[in-house]
Amino acid sequence: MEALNLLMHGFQTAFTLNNLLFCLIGVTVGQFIGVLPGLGPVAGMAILIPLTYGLEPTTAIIMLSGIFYAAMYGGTITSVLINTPGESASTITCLDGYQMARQGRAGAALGIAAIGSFVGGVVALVCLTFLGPPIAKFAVRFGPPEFFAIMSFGLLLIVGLMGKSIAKGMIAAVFGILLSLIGMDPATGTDRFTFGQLWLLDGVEFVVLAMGIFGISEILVNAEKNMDIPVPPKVKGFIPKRSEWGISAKAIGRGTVIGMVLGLIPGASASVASLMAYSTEKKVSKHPEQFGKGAIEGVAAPETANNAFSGAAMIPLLTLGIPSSPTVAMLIGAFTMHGLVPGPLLYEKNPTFLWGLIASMFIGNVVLLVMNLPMANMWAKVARIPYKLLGPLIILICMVGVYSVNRMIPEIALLTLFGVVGYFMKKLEIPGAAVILAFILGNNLEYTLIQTLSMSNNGLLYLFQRPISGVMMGLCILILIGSIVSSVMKKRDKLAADQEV
Amino acid sequence: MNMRKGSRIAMVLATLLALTALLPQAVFAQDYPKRPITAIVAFGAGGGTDLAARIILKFAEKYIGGIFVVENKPGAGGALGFTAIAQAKPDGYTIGMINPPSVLFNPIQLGDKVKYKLSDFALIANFVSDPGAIMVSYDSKFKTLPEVVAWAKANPGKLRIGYGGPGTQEALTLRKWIADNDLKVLKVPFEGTGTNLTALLGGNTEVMFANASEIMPQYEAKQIRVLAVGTEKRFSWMPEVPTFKEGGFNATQMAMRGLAAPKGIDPANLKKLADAMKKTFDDPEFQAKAKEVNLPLDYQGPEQFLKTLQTLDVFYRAEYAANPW
Amino acid sequence: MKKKLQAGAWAGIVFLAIGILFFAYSLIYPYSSEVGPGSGFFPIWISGFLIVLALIYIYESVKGNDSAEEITRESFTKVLMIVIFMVLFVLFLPIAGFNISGTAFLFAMFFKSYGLVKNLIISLVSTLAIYFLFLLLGVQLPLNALGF
Repeated sequence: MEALNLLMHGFQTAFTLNNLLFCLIGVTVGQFIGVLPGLGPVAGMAILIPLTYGLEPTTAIIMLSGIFYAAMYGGTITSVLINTPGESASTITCLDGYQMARQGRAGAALGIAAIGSFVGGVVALVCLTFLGPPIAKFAVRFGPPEFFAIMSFGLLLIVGLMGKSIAKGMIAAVFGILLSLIGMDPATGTDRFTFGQLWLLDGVEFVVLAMGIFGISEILVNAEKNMDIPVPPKVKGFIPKRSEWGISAKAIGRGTVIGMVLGLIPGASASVASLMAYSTEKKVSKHPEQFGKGAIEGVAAPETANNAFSGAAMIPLLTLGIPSSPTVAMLIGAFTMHGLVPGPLLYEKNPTFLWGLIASMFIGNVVLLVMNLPMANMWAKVARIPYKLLGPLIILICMVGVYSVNRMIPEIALLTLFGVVGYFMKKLEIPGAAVILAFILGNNLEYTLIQTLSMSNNGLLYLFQRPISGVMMGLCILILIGSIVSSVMKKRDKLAADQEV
Repeated sequence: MNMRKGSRIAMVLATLLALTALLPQAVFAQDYPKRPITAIVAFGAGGGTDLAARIILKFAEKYIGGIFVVENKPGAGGALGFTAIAQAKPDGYTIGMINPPSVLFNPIQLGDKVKYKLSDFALIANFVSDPGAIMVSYDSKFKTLPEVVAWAKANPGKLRIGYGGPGTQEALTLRKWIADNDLKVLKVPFEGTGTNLTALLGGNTEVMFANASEIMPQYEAKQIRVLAVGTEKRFSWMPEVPTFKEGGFNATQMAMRGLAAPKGIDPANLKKLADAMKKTFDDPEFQAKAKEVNLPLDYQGPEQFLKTLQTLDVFYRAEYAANPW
Repeated sequence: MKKKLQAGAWAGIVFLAIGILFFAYSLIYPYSSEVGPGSGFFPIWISGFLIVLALIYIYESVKGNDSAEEITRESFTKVLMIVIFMVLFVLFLPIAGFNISGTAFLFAMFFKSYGLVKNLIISLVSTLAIYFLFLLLGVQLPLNALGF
């Protein structure tokens, strides 16, 4: 059919030596930048986009997609190695990925992440290729009430994921939401809770919060043992154990579906996708208590989901010209610079470019996989650097990374504060992940709520007056009641060790 | 183990040092500019302002005989970047993009929390004037602006209008439109044109207020119908669309993007910059590129730009005093 | 038993304090606005919720239901030292510039791990490596008045 023809043609374009070379460069550099804490995909792209201005449009875009995917993978690498999400979507990966690294299985974690990302990304692209426009038309019907419902659902998942104490999980989540409210109010622009500090006008930076609560606190906790952390055993190989293949495959399958479905909805976020995938895996697993201790599907599912999400999110981008996240928005900016304005007409006005782009995304994914599987071992070696050297270096790099985002020195102080907060939270078994995830959702939650309320005169009832959001909100309420009931019942159990998430 | 690590680090360091030596060290033969000029952009890379800046400056390089380096300083709705421009050393090596009317709004809204004012800038030139636009989805029942007004009057509290939220320029336009026609409508804020458009196309809002340049692709693809634009006379890119005034709405709305330097810059250097910008604007290749990326051009030289801004400033201050937003 | 109780309860009190602080500020912001809910709307509910949760948490801790780890004095000292070094780094950064502050920070952190000379070399080299790495990526780290 026509689409296949065009795609083949696209591959021809993408496969020129020049384009391949730049794809490779993009992937390499993008990954490198994604790995440095602080600089994540957004910053990485910001730095590298100007370098593409001198290139031919097609080549430039190919390089950019390489950077995009690679930078996201770089974020995964930091999640696994130093328990610090390089970007919001990798937050969930920290939970099991880092534990796997501590067990010496960093290679396997990175490997399955690479494989899952590849599968998720490619499947999403295939759908994009053949199903683009009609899907977009349907997805567009999702409005603020639906988004609010999705976010609420995500929030409940967060609380539901937390080990034992619903109260602790809720405190963490509510605290996270409260932090997200600092800064300019999205609806009216008044600055809230900034205590007169201009640099807080844009709110707390995700990177600062995540690095503090996850990364720095981890080092602080380890400092108690005098940095005498045993070096993780040398487990070679980036391929998961035979016994894990089955589980991983299923996790990847589920992750792909979840990621794709959410990616099609303009307005959902990758973090919600990875969160849902992780949560689903935990719920269907035969050994849920393994999650948070290094369960491989705890890495496979979210990683797959978030790449499937990005791939699928290209659909609204390319068919409607609507970006689904800041990183994608930058990609649009770069496209536009080269005179390629995404939008409904792109499919018609410039088919060569478009199909070349899709083909190059395939290639980008392949290059990423090929490069990273063998390199996973190399990355894993980083985890084996003696901690007394690694720990302080990580702290310094984190501080520099924070600075590199906004060049504001007070943010480094904030990082330190969050590090201390995270330390206490770890000690008290209050889930840091809940804080971070709720923080990510917080702003969106408020904004969609405001939008929903402004769309009708019926207040919150409006949420239930629309089919999709009505169903979702109904689900949310059921889950909430269910969780509270089951936690009250659980209190009667005297289960000793319950893991801290 | 120590030796290996030590010498490895040393090698890396040496390589890095060598690489930094390769960083471009251009030497210019003239008085000004003698080294690269930094251009501060108050918004993130990839956004509309950033794009405009990079394109303009790329072409301007050959007319000024130098190099421009874009530095993104996003934050606080532009306030951080604008402040940086106003407070930079006026030696001619730092300039920046300013976005009226946002650049005017900040001192008005935030008072002395903001550390710059209009008089802190020496204006170089305005490049882009982006008209406001009122639109509906293509298969909407509304074909003209008066039809919308009539429907809203007959159905109070039902019409949903998507816009950029309080504090944006279109918020003021919307406010005036509502007041002029004495309407009761539902205003739905959106962060960015993308989500605003999605809502419009998905039937979650009926009308949308935004800027023309941001919806050109959808306009050209006939996914939306623009009912009116905020220019004084018809907008050349949308010749069949009536202006606000023609549609019965007595207002205009233009978002501008131009270049400015901190005040106190040497007038000779300012003139060099202004001249270079004028030549850039006249460059047919530049104009073609601008059209390609949907930047509606509107050149205003330093004096004219200043007058425009001063007029606008007076207007907005009066608006704010009468009716703060 | 008592030490554990203190830790949890104190945390609860901190959260309570934060909740109250935000709640108080939220009252200042308008509850409704021209689009419906105003800037005070969401914060009031959220901070109010935090207050309730904090009270529940304190109650749970006092009842002894908390299984949190103990925080001993000596382990906390080590943590405190690191935090102090970080704070010092932040304070000196604008004055002394990155290269000096970074080296000093690492030197302090490595103090017990390596001998003096080895420490100095590692600290200095690492700091400079980071400096140039970020420079290459377009991030200029703060310099001091002397230009390095």
